[in-house]
Amino acid sequence: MAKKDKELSKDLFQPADISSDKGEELGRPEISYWKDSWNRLKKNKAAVLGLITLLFIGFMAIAGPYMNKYEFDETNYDAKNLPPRVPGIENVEWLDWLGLNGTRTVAVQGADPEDALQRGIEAFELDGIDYTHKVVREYDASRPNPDERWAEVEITFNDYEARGLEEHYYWFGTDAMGRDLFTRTWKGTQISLYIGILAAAIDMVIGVAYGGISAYYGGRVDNYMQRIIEVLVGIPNLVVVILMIILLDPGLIAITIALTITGWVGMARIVRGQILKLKSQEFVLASRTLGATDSRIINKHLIPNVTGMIIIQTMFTIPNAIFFEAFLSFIGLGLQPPLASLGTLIDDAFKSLQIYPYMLVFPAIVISLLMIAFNVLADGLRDALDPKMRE
Amino acid sequence: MARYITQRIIYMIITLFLIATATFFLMKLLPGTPFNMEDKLTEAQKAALYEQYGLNDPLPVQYANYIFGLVQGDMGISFQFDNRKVEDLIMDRIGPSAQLGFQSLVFGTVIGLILGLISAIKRNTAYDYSSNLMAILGKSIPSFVFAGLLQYYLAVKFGWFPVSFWDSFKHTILPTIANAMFTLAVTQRFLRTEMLEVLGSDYIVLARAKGLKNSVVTFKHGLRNALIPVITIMGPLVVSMMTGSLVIEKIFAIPGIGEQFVRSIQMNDYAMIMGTTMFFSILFVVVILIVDLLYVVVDPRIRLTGGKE
Repeated sequence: MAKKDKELSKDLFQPADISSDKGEELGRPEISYWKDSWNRLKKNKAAVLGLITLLFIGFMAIAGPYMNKYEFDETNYDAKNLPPRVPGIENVEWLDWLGLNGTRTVAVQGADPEDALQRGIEAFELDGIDYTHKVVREYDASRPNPDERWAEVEITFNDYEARGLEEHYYWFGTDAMGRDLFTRTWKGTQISLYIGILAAAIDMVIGVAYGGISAYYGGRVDNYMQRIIEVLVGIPNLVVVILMIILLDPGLIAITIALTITGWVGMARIVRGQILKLKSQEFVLASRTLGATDSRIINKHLIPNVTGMIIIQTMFTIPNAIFFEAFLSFIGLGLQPPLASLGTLIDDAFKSLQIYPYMLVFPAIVISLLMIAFNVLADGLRDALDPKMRE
Repeated sequence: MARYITQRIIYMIITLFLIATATFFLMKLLPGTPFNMEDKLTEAQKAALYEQYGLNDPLPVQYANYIFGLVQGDMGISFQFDNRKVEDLIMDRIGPSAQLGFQSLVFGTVIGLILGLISAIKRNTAYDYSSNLMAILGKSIPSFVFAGLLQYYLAVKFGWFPVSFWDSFKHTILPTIANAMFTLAVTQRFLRTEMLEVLGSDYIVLARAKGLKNSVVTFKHGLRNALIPVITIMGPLVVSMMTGSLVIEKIFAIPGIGEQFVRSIQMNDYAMIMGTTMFFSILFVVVILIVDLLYVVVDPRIRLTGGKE
């Protein structure tokens, strides 16, 4: 090594001057636990991206329903099942594949291509309107399936022009009752988020209280409370939720209650485990020796030390609750119209998936992004807040 | 061991009894009767039907009848489906649901394990990132959204698979994949974490120090130990199969238990709802018990005294 050969003269070394009062001084600025966690979280690109996505979706959920002139429950039967049309993008040719230009493609059958086209023009009132068509197949009597013998053409036209609704722009299209899907999607996001956050908050309060009391008082109290939990854990959450929804009238409150009735168990177990570990530590003993009351020890010493765990658990509960709400709406136990949640929108879209796939696309994208963002952020938070990871 | 098993079985019975009781009384609190929709029935006919199904008995009698019947495997008679026995209806429908559940469980676990293994061995490489991305997507995207996308693109648009129904093996592919995504994601993440932990432990360092081949260390010492705790995630996976069966069977029009359950909810078929609920609960509780026992058997490090917490 080159360093070995270097001449090291004596005057390079000087005694370090340490006065006794400087011994206690910290070399670096003090970083609080939260600041430290935040720094770690910032380094996690996925989590930051998740956070930004969540902020964006949150903003849209609040502002989205007011961004255009339509109301979420305003029906317009002249404008039902319209494809999406966005001003600006509709004229950009290379973005046509997005399907945001109000065009619709329909397959029409007839005795020959000419006949099929004529039928299409009549059915969709395309007289005097631009359309393009493509012959899918000619008439062929030899095909085994009778349905496939007919000639078929695909006609592409602007549905807004065909119905004389040129002045309308439904950015995400409309549903089977002519309601604006853009407004409904964001209104639905709002309600899904509301249910998710409310359910998670209630879970948190009950879970922390139950787990905290059970662990702190210990002994017989703990024993009884844990037996109750053991029985509750054995009941599949799905079954409880479905039963509660059937009992209560379907709606926002019913779903929230159903989700929270067993949801807090996970939180209670985690908090109990943490508190059991903490309460035997010296700082708690010291506080108790100084005469602190139970509530002071719980509120000032125990709860702050499990906050990280509580936040992580809550962050995982929110996407779960959002999923369950969508799931319930999907099997017909969710919100009732005209209210919309992402789940009911997806359920409605499935009814005409083969003809109007765009109805599924937007709510599906939003709920997927929402779930991904929450999960990624929760993962990031777990890594950032977990004390075991602290260097 | 015997004491542990007995204790667990007692808990299981208490749980099931509670579920049965709760189910029964919740159903009784519901407004309406199963014969509400039949406008054509005269009062006399309705009274006869009530009598036939024991709906006129006092509540405790109905409750006792229900519990005693349940113990003997009698779940009552369905109000809507041709007046048949609930247990028979469930048994009729169990085939497709079991097949869907089994196929997706196997597919999801196998692919999940492979991905998790790749992730752990090739940590912080492009393989790891893409495998993790898949797990995040699988865990986040609701199965019914994923099923919808698969159905629209692969079946409706490209016509590679049948759109719905349950017939040949080809019909089962899309539902299986859609239902397996969550399993796949959970298994991948779990095995990755376990494997990384095991690979960092002292006996792996020792094995390497002995000069064993990398493949021997990874598979014989590492994977074998990392696989044991995977059994514990079977509980959540069974639940996901149940949830999945409700939505996936609805989307693909599969004649299984889930699809029937959704319909019985819409039809106020109390007996059917109670029966299916009990069926799901028993399935869940039994699987959890088996998983816990199996875990103790496979991993000698776990001691039984005082449960496994």
